[in-house]
Amino acid sequence: MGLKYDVISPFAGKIERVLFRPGDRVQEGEIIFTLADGQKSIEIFSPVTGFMDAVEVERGDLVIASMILTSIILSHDETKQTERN
Amino acid sequence: MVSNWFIKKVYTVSLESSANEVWNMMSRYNERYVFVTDPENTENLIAYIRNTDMIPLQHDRKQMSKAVRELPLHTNLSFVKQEADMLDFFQLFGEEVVVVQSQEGKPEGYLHREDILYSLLTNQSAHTDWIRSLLNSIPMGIIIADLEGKIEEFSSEALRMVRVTPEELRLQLVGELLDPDVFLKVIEHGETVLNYIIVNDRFGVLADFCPIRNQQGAVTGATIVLQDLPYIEKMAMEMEYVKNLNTDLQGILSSIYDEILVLDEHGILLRYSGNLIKDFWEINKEQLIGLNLMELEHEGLFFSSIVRMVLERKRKVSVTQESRSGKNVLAVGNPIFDDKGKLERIVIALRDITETVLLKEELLQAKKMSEKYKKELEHLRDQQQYSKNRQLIYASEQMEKVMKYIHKIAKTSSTVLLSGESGVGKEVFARTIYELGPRNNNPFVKVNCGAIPETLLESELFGYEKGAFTGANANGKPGYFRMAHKGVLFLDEIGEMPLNLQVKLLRVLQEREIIPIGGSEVVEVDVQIIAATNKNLEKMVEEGTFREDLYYRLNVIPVVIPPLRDRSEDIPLIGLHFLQTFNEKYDRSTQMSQDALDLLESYSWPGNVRELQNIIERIVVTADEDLIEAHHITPLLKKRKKQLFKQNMNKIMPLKDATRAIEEQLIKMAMDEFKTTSMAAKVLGVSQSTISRKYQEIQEKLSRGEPIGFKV
Repeated sequence: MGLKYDVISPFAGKIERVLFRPGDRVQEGEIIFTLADGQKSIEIFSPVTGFMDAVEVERGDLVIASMILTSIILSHDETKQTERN
Repeated sequence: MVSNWFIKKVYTVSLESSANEVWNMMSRYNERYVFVTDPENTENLIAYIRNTDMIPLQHDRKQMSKAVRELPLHTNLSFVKQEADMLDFFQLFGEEVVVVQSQEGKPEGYLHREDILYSLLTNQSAHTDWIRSLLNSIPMGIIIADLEGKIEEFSSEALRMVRVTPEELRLQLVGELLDPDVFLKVIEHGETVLNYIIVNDRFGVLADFCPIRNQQGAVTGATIVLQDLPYIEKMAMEMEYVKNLNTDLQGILSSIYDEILVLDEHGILLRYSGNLIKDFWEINKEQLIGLNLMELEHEGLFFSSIVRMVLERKRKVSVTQESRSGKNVLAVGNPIFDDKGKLERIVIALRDITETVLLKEELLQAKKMSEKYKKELEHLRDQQQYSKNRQLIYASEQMEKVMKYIHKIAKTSSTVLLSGESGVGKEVFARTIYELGPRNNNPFVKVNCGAIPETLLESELFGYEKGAFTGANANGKPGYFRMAHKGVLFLDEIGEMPLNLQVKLLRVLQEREIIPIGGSEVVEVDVQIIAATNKNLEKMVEEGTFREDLYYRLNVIPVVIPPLRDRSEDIPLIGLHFLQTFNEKYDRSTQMSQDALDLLESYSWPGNVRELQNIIERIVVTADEDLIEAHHITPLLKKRKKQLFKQNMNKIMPLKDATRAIEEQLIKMAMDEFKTTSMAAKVLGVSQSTISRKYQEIQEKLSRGEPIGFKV
């Protein structure tokens, strides 16, 4: 059981895409969500390599700034994975 | 049983008598009760009239003229036989009046309740047990206490109601047990207190307090009648439970580290835990109680948006935020629903995660750093291992010369062509040149031109672009030339390179640029080439299997590495080095005798250093004893020689060639083993001059790089 790293929405907006499901393996820097407000649309990346914990939002959900969208459980062989990249 | 003097005479009226008659009867005989006879049988009594019912009527003429049947009659008459015993009386104890009948059923008189009680209590012969049974027969709790409150008598019902044992009850004072103030009021002022509710955490009862007076009217004690209050009791217990729960909750809230806010379904703050996150609140929380937090958005309280979010989503919402004071706070808003699924409360838990966030960051950094160090360490260890395993060991003059030459040429980045027999360690020399040279911080890439299939060699060397082949790595491949950029590319077995590729290689060496397969752009490369071969390239050029122009391009600085047999001084040194290496590797402690070393030195080592290495490894692994003698090694070496013969003798060749070959081989062997021509001549059974002449020829041949003996 590794540490959890939170993925946070940078501003209030609408979740346009959710690319991972709980339990999925995710690499540092991979896109997890797309968030959009009226003017801009940004991609939210994974802060670490690990496994997706519960995903708190679904496509189309409205979120507020600094809300936790999901957490990623750091996996032990995380560094090996990054090496390959 | 019933004393006659208690029995009062029964005065009767008929239903048709007037109220006036009743009243007259009452006042004349000073009677409180007048009985009504059955109109069909005057012997039977059917009802009685109470004087208290008559008093309000007596001034009303109209009322007084009424017939008895119109008066308030009490028809609940009880009867008792004259011979009845005590227990029969107990059953009638609740009755106001009891008519005593004769054996024939004729009314003999009647009894008052007080009279019965009085007769019972004053009866000298009566035992207190029947008072107890009397008390116990009443379905109410009865306690009789003296002036101080000491409990003198009680019924078992009372015990049940106040939930104590008889022993406990006797020790207690009524005031303490029930209510001291009320008891005092009864004792001191002689007041009667009825329907007084007593509720505590043990029981709940409805109590009537009555003073007991003596004949002079002075209070001598008190009677307390208790009635069950199951419903109230339950409620009271629940209230007590809730009270305790509340205390517990307060305790829990103030002892947890998280800060907790409880809001109602509109967002109004109801309560909060005692803990405060330091420096986080810019406003006094007490001021917020009863306010709707959603209206405070402009105050910069970030959880106002959480409240809104929880209300909208009806799900848990977590938010992290850094406060103005630099605190990192995690806020989790949780909706709480009632049985019907309606939102009832919102609980917001706040946690100071400043440290956690910092620690996590640091951990990540530390992990990355440690990974970096690990890599560096591994790299260093590799290098060390490498230099330990591949270091050049020599003592011979020939090698000294070669090394001096190498030191000189290593400073430049010119192309080097290493030639020497198979197994002399050409790669070790290439590495040495690289390590001594100016490019030792850049990559050293080794390519074995003989090991890679011809068709792949091109793509391996020059790389290919994305999409050049289907099935190949989709991102393309840089190729060895680009990988060795700024460093050294070691082309082993250059003699094995196919002719068509030789052209391309030549182009790279001339132009210092490459074109990857499938690519259209020229890529510049800065690579030092070290080529190595065990073939005679000059001869290959003559035969047309190696391009002349490439040969000259490669042969800028030729380095010839002498075979091991030409530098026999190195053999014991290298042998001992390998012995040590393999001892370490296999955790052995084998040693070699001088004999064994001499034998190694005299051997011709056709496989050069590689063969020496393998034989030493075999010895270390298989030796039974720690000291290795010559006889341990001999079978290994001899066997190889025999195999050599066998291998080369299994094809038909001209007899003349074969004779010459076997002659050469025998002389070489004899000379290798015995060193002097005289000894060799003796062993071979020919003259010394013959040996001397023929050996000279052999040596000339060898120095030209030609093979002796059978052609392989």
